[in-house]
Amino acid sequence: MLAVAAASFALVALAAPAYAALGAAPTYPVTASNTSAGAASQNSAAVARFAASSSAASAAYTVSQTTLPSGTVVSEYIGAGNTVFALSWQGPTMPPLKTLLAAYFPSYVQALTDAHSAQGGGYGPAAVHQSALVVETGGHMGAFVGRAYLPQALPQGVSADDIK
Amino acid sequence: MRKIARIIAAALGLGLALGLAGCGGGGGGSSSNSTANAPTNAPAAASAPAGPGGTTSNPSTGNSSSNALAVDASAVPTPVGPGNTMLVTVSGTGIHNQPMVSVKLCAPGSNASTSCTTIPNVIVDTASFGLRLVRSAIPTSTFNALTAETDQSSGLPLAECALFGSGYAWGSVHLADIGLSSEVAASVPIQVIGDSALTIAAPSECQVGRPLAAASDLGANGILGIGVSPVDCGSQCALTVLSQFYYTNAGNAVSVPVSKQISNPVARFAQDNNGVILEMAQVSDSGSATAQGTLVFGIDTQANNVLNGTGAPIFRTDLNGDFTSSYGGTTFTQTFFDSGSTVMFFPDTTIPRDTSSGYYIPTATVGRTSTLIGTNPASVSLGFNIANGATLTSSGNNAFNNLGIYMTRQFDFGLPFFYGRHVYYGISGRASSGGGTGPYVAYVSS
Repeated sequence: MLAVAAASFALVALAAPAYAALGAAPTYPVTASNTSAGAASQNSAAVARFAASSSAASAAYTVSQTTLPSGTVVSEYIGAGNTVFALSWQGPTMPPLKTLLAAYFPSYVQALTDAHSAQGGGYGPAAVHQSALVVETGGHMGAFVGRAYLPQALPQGVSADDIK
Repeated sequence: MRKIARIIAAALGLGLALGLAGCGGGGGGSSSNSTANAPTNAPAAASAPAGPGGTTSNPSTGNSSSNALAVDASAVPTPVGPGNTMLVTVSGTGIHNQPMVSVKLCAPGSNASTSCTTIPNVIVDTASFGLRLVRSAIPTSTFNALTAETDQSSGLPLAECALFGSGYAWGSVHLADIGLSSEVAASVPIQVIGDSALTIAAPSECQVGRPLAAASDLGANGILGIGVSPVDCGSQCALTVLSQFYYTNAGNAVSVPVSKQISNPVARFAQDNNGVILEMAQVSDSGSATAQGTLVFGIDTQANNVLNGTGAPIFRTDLNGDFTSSYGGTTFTQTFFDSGSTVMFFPDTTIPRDTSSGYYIPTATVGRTSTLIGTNPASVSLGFNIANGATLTSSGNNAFNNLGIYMTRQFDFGLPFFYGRHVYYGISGRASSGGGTGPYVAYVSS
């Protein structure tokens, strides 16, 4: 399995750390070339993509983007203590959510199961809104888009609208 | 869960008693005479009701939207008969707004005549590609006739994980003849979900949500993916070993030639193979217990599947069926018509919603307009309505034309959009006189 993982993530030199992603350290390597600074916005304006301005406040978080071999782009939003508080994705395959949601994955699956039972939700797009975890997963086969974040771990001044 | 299991058991054992009314009925309801005098939706924060189990988000007052209700679409499905048409039903399968057909499954290469079985309650999914059936729904005598596909280099049986937004299906790959109406798709690779012969667990990178292994997980016996792509991966999986697609039954990712990938059965018909049309009869604006429609094979190949000359707007899509729309000042490059989505999924902060479930719950039904970016014409206004999702989902009905959930970064016209419309899907690389060469989508509303 490890050999398959290493071959699959050809653009990623290292195997995933043991405890990674949401609520912990980033899953994918964070380099200068794939990272941009995010500014805390006062009224949910767009994330600052470039940390060039010397007058900008020190970045509240950084956004690290990785492109998987399938072409799916995963963005990890990294806050204080090198902890991922949000992630988003867009591309031909779903990102490996079991790895990326880490400790939050079981409660995510439980929420989907509860929604399936109670509301008759299907297997496609879904919205999970809990106090500790929000996941919006959309799109369809070949074209997925979604995001996940920890409402209680958003840096000060950062809102859900900044997670794109 | 018990309700779902009971309904599935009944459906599997007895089939559904279906009234073949042919022409769709059940329309009507509050079709509004929308005029310029219709009041704008002034958000009344105090009166917005709290949804079940969650708080209500009151709409922002920043940009007011006209509340003029859209006129319900009113196209009538073409009659079902032998040839290129199949009956589609929405009913109490435990999942609302899931359109179902029956699929005939036979030994590969038998012209759909040997070891056949008919499998009911298969979801019509216009945004996925390939036939996927739960193992338990296939009688063993038929299953034993479905040749297992093998990896070309190791000779091991193939497996595949199919990824969906909130679930994944892990299964083996087999060849089968598929009979849909009088059409036959010969020796088509299909996915058999929950195949107990596949003893290894789904790879970790495939586990993206709920495991879909049994009929109760799906609320159905399978998924009939008949979107614009002929196969579920394409050249990427043929040229490279790509994670999250095909594996041996030992769990090692492998490449698979396009001809051996799980296929959209329509693309493998001998005729009527350039696309499909899904035509659902309109339902009540307060929901209907059941709904019926027709799945038509082929575009501009028969008298009953005409696109040419209808004036339908044509939208060129990417290889997966997506095109672009504009809504509320935002551009959505992931806009799509998806019969496999049970509701409309789109972002609108001006409509009150239950922040826990995501359902829009306006006090009174609201009207909205999306601008679709097309080929001919270049821009199309599409009106739709959103009603109170809490009221609808507790009504006991199963078919809804105005149910929506808040979701960002995409505009998913789910099954609510299909009622009262003929929605066309042109398969990539296949041409019709009215649509040109696919991939494209189109629709008529009357």
